[in-house]
Amino acid sequence: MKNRWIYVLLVVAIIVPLARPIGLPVNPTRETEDLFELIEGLPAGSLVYLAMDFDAGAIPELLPQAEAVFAHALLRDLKVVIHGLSDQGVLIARDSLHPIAWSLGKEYGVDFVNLGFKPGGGIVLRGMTADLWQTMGGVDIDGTRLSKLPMMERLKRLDRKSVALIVDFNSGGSAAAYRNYVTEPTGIPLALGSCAVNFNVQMPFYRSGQYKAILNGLRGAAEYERLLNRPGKATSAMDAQSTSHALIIVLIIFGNVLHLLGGRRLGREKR
Amino acid sequence: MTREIPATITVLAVLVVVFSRYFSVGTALDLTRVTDHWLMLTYAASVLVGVLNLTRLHLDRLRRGKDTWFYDLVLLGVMYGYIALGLVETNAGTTFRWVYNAVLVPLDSTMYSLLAFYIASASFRAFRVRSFEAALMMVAAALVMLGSVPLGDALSPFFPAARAWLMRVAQTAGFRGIQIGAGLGGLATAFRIFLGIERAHLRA
Amino acid sequence: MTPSDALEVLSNHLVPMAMTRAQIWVAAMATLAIFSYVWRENPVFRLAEYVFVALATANGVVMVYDSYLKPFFVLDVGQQGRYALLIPFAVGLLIYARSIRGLGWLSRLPMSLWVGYGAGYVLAWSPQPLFVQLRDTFVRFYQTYPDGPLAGRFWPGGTVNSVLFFVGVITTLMYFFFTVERRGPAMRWSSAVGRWTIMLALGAAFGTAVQGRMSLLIGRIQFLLGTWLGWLR
Repeated sequence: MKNRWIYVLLVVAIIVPLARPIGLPVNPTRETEDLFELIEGLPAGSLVYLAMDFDAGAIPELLPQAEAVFAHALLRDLKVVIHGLSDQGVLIARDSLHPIAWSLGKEYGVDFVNLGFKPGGGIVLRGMTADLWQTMGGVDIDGTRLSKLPMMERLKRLDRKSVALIVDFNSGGSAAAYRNYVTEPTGIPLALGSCAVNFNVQMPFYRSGQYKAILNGLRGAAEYERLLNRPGKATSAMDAQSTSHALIIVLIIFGNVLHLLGGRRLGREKR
Repeated sequence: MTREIPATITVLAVLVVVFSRYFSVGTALDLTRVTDHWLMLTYAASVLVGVLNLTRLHLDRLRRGKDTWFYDLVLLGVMYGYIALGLVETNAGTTFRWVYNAVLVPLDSTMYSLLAFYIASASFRAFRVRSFEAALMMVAAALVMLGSVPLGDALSPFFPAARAWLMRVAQTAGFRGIQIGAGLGGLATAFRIFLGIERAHLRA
Repeated sequence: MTPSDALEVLSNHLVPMAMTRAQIWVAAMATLAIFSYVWRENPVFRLAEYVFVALATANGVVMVYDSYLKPFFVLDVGQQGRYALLIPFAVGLLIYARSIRGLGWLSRLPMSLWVGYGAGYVLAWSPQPLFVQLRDTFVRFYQTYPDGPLAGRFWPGGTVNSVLFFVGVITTLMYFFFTVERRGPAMRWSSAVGRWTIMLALGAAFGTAVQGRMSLLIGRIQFLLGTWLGWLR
């Protein structure tokens, strides 16, 4: 079988359920419920810190998560501060999270702030635990002085007193940086929005309580939408997710059966 | 001179951080509060390294008259053009954001999604059950795949339960072991740098 | 707009901002250009690839300048006159000496600073989380029901899982660390169990890798069919 036929099968397996959704229910897992309950349990006015540590490549998985969590936090009248160790994450936030806040009648600088990106990785995080304003160079993403944003008065550094929860939407190593440099030393609870690919590596830290919750890729976003009782774009993708996984399993089985029947030539074919 | 000074700087840098963390005098002095800021400035100053490397590479190819000249020109033109645009109207500018959302976002996310095709093809061609271990791996993969989609939930409660067990017990145990090993390895490397055994960075 | 209306808006938009029609067309072309690689390597894909590298690099430069260098020069140096901070900045600039003949060694100064500082960070901050991992492996053997009618009573399933987990971690470590010859049934079995644990872990990792890649592809197909062509509801 030529690779192109496999590609065609895959595209068909995704398009059909997108066009004709079955709407199989998405049951939330404990890893997702934990984040929902954490946010539900925070008193109004608490400050939640969202780390947008991903590039555009991870938008399909992580942006639906970030949108759902951001909306949830604002609906519960929490204050949100956005920051990114990736130069793109904060741009993505400005174009997709800020509009959600405005549609909820929230005000920039009072209910939410986007601190922008700063170069230096873990050093930036350590710096923020000592003096956030200096580490940020005194400005937000658009160059507005932090002193002009009323919400920033209560956030001079990352510590347990000022920040109730950190949620790191990450596609790589930033979760370890937050864990080692911020949340372990300060005791701020840390939850993750993770790409599915990294979910496994992060589970040992969930078990030990170092991560309080983990959203697992697009599925995690769909579960969160379900908990919010508002199916959105992640939910609408779940049927296609089901069919594509089923196709992969069929391909594995089919490949092995053909192999057993002596079709060894199969593996050699070029794309 | 050209090696001793950098080697000394490396050791001093390690000492500053370790001293501020583990010694009460160091914690009180809070040296890293100052040095972290300095380090950020050195990082920021190095921002053009990537741009200059790409410029040198592609100018070199242009000079040697390679047949990729069109692409080299496009790369240099787009890169410097976008930097100029960003400097003129800042990252909040209309055109800058227009290009970001219309070009960079789709290119970046589509690039990664290509892997879906190859993973499908590899599942068919390469995932062979030749041993007990390979069978374990395949069963785990299949259970996780089915257990993490609504289809698995709909077929039988067994699939999400099996996935949950694999995720929280079996695979977490495997990755915990691997990560403890990697963590110790990281500490050992840091020690080697401190002791001057590991000095690849001094050869650059 | 009520909160539930706002969430409705949230549910209905599939692209990261309200894009104009022209933007959507450009984005669709960019998407198709990358997808064309599936058919075969071709000039359109290559062009897209070069544009991608150029834009991603340029974006990083603009972001560092806007969010850090500009405020540094305007506020810290310009308004507050903290000229001493120009020294570390100058040290960072030495990295460009790499390509100057005779002065190339100067680029080792910032490099050695970064490597040393990074190693210091590892030594200072990574042991604590690692110890939490180690401790968590050894505790909680005796498990009780966390909730429900039996809350607080002995929980056989949880206890078995804790023991299995412990055995899995230890045998995985033994599989990697024990370079001594695996003689005797105890050694052979423990390394076999370690290997099985790793295989289960890698199988699970393959499963989530499939999940992640499919999500990305679904995202792009949703964009093409929904946002661009308007075929999806």
